[in-house]
Order: sequence, then structure tokens, then C-alpha cells
Amino acid sequence: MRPELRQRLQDEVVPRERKPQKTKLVAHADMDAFFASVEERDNPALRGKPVIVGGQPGTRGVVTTANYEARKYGIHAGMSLTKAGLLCPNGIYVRTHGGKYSWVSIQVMAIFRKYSPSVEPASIDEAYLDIASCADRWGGPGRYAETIRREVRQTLGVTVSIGVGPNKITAKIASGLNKPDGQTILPLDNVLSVLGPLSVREIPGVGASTEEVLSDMGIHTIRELADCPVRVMQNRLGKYGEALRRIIRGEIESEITPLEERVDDKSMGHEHTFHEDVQNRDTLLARLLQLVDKATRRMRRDKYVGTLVILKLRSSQFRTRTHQRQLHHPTSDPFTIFRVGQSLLDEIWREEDGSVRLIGVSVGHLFRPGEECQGLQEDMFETPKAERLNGLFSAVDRLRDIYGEHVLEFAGGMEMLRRAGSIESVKH
Amino acid sequence: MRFTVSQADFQEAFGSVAPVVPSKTTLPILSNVLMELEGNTLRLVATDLDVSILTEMEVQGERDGSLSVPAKKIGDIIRELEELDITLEADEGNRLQIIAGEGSYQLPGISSEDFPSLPEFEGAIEFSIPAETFDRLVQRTSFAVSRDELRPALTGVFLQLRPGELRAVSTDGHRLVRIIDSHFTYSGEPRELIVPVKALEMVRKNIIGDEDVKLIVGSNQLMAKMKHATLYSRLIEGKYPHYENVIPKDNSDRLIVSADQLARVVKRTQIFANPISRQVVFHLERDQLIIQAEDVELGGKGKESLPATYTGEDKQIGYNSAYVLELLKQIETDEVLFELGSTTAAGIVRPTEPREGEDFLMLIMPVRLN
Repeated sequence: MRPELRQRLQDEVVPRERKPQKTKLVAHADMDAFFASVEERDNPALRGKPVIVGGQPGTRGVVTTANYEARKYGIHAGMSLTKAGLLCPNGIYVRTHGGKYSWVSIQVMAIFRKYSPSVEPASIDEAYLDIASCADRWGGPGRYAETIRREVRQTLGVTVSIGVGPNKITAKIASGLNKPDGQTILPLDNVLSVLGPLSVREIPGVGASTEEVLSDMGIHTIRELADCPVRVMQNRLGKYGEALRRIIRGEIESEITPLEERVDDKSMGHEHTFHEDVQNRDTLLARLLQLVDKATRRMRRDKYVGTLVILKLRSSQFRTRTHQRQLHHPTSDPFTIFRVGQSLLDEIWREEDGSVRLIGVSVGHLFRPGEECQGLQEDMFETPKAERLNGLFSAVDRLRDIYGEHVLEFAGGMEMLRRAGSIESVKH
Repeated sequence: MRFTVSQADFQEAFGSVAPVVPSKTTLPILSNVLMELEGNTLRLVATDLDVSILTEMEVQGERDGSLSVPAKKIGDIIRELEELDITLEADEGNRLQIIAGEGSYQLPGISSEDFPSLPEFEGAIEFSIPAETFDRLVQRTSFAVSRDELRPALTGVFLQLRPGELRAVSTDGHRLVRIIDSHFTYSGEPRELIVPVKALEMVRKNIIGDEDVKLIVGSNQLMAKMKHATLYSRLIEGKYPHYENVIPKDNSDRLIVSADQLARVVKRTQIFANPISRQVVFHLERDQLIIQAEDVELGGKGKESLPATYTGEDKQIGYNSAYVLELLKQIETDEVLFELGSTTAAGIVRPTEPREGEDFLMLIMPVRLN
């Protein structure tokens, strides 16, 4: 990777602000068919044709993105390439170029940061922006959204759709209403005039099981949900139901946490909110492994080791628990940190405890060995092992710098996903 | 169950089993001590499922029976009672009545049927260790045992039985202790076992006078028989690391220094060390040792030199001061000998004069300074 690019990456990744901020006005910016758009931008010959990113049909793996042309054939992200090949034999199949999308994503996020003091990337292709203090300077949320969309389109050649609402969830629903390259501004005094007629399934986090409960209650649309008496919601769906009702009525504000990565001297970690709540241990573990992988990659980059592992779990009832363990030996070794995370998970959660909405892991008590009179305690058994791993991971890091984060992944995570039935097969 | 016993006798017997009761447990019954009365013999049992201990005592029995009772509560009340005879009685509702002088106390127990039964034990190897030797072995090794659940094998003391030789080893990766007792009377097949440190500490606490401790080893269990108590312990499964490989063979730099003086200097300088790493630096020069510590965050510094005999290259080695102090505590000679190699390799620490019939060696891993 070019040095200036690497520097840019680091500048962009280290957050300027750390504290979550409550806000009354949120914009959700969602890239349109992001990977496919980047491929079309780089190869204009693809435009207007069905483009499927993921790999060649018939090979192992799944569709990561299908452009809007391809979606007409019924192809969607997560579908196996084999099935996609059957539905659209004449489609253009492109392999996933992770590094390229990351780079475009960084540039997109940089544009968002020009327009908002507080940007929380939710994934590689979407972000929440706190716009309470800045939208008016652009002539209101509508003009504001147009301005950002134009800049992204003109400077990067890809399109983004924006939704504005009183909180994250309403903003996210809104951003999906006018895709691609569109925007929806919810009237703050009457969110339901737009959202009311939509199905409750449009609400992020409402999966099949919640939908079933709501349907039992005779609730199918967002308006019916909003109009349902608080007591009834509480009885059937507990705290979650009550919160859900208030959120879609626009009565609850959201917190925007600049960057999903939280960095300070004391800890480094990542968390993930599932699209659909998860009740399968293997799926949680696979995600945990990914989060550990991400966190330890940053620890290595910044030369940190730590001695505290913290696991965070949020249930679908919005009950958040954290559990931590002190390590005997400071480390940045993902295998050790994953093993500790796994045992913490098993201590606070079992499948019968119900489904999980968010999982997070962080490593605390960080320090840079050799700095500030804190050397690294040698260990007669662990140090030789750590030295072997250092060699391995510096190679992994170099490959990822060049080819993107996904060029190498832990096979263990894939194996867990296979056991959980989330992917079809893994070659051993 | 009903019996009468003197407060002092009961407190003593109870005190010998109570430390096995785990302080935190998910199984409420393990917080209890089992009492079983048969004639005039009262049996007390405590277990954490890994380690179980049983003791018997003479009482004035009136009615046979059994009940398990919360160890903490019983211990607390017995300790506070006057030195009188006390009567303990279990009723049909699994409640225990304690009658002492004018006082009567009642607390709920759990039926003895729910109490875990003692393990079936089949011993294969039997040997004895004199009380004093056992005490030394445990005292010398237990401090260095690992508390790290990620490395279960290191959470016990590794015993190697060989004809005429007993080796006890403990390590947490940062320091290691190896003690070889060559007065060991054993003629059986060589055998290796990893014993939970809690079991060894319990035996040590229950040794009375100079009795021999009789140890019987089964396939995955150990039984220790003492005059007044019997202990059962699960053995730790897993492979103990090849500790001989990490003992340096060619550490040629030798430091000899007063153990007591070094301990006092380290205690003073470590006050100025980074509180997390507790790092102190040994500056080794010909016939001089300088100990230095610094806390960058606080801005504090400490430095002190002391006379020493050093032959080797000038160098600086960092250590965790807590480890240094623990090692020095184990030195019975006036002076301590450090045999050192590179600044990132294990250093050997031992008394300047070995004790007769005993080879005692400790290792300390340095802190990498940069």
C-alpha cells in the first residue's frame, strides 16, 4: 500500500470524538448497491447490465451485492452463487475486491465528516450522521441531504440514498424508501404520515419472530403499532415493545457514537448489531472471532498489548451485560483473546437464555511494551509462542494492507457458520 | 441427630474442613458442611467437588443422624460462643438447633442426601512424606503456581516420583520453582502427577506435629491420610510443560548479594515503580548492583546501589519487583546467587549453599525493557 494511502487510512480510522452524543435529528446514509456501484464506476461497460459481486456462478460462496438490474432477476445479497447463476445465467459476475471498497468507503465517510460533527459508520456502506446542529445551515434537511448526495456522486462516482428522521431507526427506514440515489425526509411532527402505511417488517430489528407476535395482536403496519396502547405492547413484548412503539413514533432520541471503533489508551474493541437477532452459539462465536480479529489487527498496528478481555452482550429485550476477565499475561494474540471471550460468553449466556441483538468484545489495560517504564513481562512458555505468531500475523497484516481485509479470514469462523447453517460448505 | 461437644473441640474440627468450602459456587449445597453422627463419632465433610476433606471427632452422641449446614454461618456462631459445651440438634424440617448456655440458635440446613458423596477411591501407589518435608515442599512451590484458568496444568504443583527422589515443580510462566528431595523413600515405578495447590495447602494445614503424611495415588485422584483428617483430590489432567527445557544450561554471569539487603532495597525502590508493571531495573556492574525504578505517569523515581559480587558483562535487566521479593523470601542462606544470561532470558536464583539432601532452584523471567 502506498505510504500516503496508509497514512490517510490511519487518520480516518482514528476518531476525533469519543463520547456518544444524543441527538434530535439523524440522517442515515446508505450506499446504493455499493460493491456493484464501485465495480460499475471502474468499468463503465458494466452499466445497465445485471452485475453480481461475489464470484463466479457455480463456485462456493454467496452474492455480496447485486446491482438493481440483477435484483430484477430475484438475486439478492446472501444468495448462493449457484442459485444466482440459475436465475441469471447472462449476468456479469465479478469477484469481491474488498480493499477497493474499503478505500471508497473511507472516502465516503470523509465526505460525511465534512458535513456533520458526529458520524457513526454502521458498516462499510452505511453511516448515521448527527445533523441536529448543522442541517439548517444548508437550508434544512432536504437541501442538506441533496448537497451530500451530490458531492458523493460527483467526487466518487457512486450514489447514496439518505433518510432523515428523529432517531436512527426511523432514519434508516426512510433511507430505504427512495432508492437508488434518492432521499426521504420524515416530517418531525408527523413521522407516521410517511411511515404509517409500511409493514412492521420494514423496522430494522423486527424479524420473523417479532412479526409473528405483532401479527397475533392484529398489528401489521407501523401505524397500527404506533397506535397500540402502551400497556398492550408491554404485556406482549415487554420493554422492547414499549421502546419500539416510542421509537417509531419518533419519541426516542438516538445516540451517535463517532466510529464503530472505540479507541482510547485503556481499551480497543468492536461490536456488532445483528440484522436479525441471533440465538445460535456458533453464529455468535463466528462473529466474536471476527470482532477479535478486527480488534487485534488494530492492536498490532498500534503496537498495543492488553491484559483485560471484556465481552458485551445485548439481548433482544435490550438488556445489556458485560463480563470481563483479567489475563495473566499481556497479549494481542487473537487466539487467546477469542478463547477468553468464548468462555466469558459461555458464562453469561446459553441458547435457552434467548436471542442476542448485539455482541461486542474489547481488550483493556492496554499498553505499548517498552514505553512509560512498562516493559513486557517475558513468559517462558508464551513468549516463544508469541514470537511465532508475530511472524504469522505480520504476514497476514501485509497481505490485508495490499489486498483488503477479507483476503484472509479465520477458517474457524467459517466452520462455525457452516455448523450454524449460515453458509453452505467449507472446504477443509 | 443430636450431640453435645465442647465449643473448642468443635471449632478446631470445623476449622480443619471449612477452608475447602468454596467462597463462590453455583451449587448451593457446596457452601455447606456435612455432619454425620454415628454413636459418639461425628464426621464432618466439606467439598468443592475437586477437593474433599473428611474429619472425625469424639462427641457425646444422643441420636444418630445427619444434616448439611451452611459453613459460613456455623463457623461464625461457633467462633463467637463462650467456651462451653454446646448441643447441636437437627429436627425433621432439616433445621439445626444450637444450644449454648442461655442461647439457642437455629438455622436451615439441606438434607444430607443432597450432599455429594465422597469419591470412590482405588489407590495404586502409596508413599509417605515426613511432615517437615511436606511442609517445605508446599511452602516452596505454592506461591509460584499459576492462577490462569487458560493454562490448567500450571494451576497445580507437578510431582515427579522416582525411586529415591521426589521432585516438586511449580510455575506460572513468569517464575518457576523446582525442588528435588533426595531423601525420598520410594521404590515403586516412576509416576508423575499434577496436584491442585488447594489440596496441598489443605493437607499442610491439617498436619499435626511431626506425623508422616501418607499419600495414595489413583488413576486420576489422590488421597492424603493424616491423623485427624483424610483428603481426596482430583488430579489435574493435561500435560505439564517440559520445564527442564526452560532451565538455562549456560548462564555464566554470576551475581552474589545479601538476600536481606536486596529485599529491602527492592521494597524501597518499587514504591516508585509503575504500579501495574511493578518494573524495577537491575543495573549490573562489576561488584556493584544498582536498583532503579521510575513511574513516568506520576513522575516519581527511585535509585539505590548496594555492594555485590558480580562477574559478567555489564547489563541492565528489568524484573517485576513482586516476583523478586517472593523469590528472596524462599532463600534461607544469607546471600542469594543469581545466574544470568541474556537480558530477555530466564535467570536462575538459588541459595548460595544447598541444603543437605535438597536441590532447590528458582527461575525468574525478566521484563523486556524496549
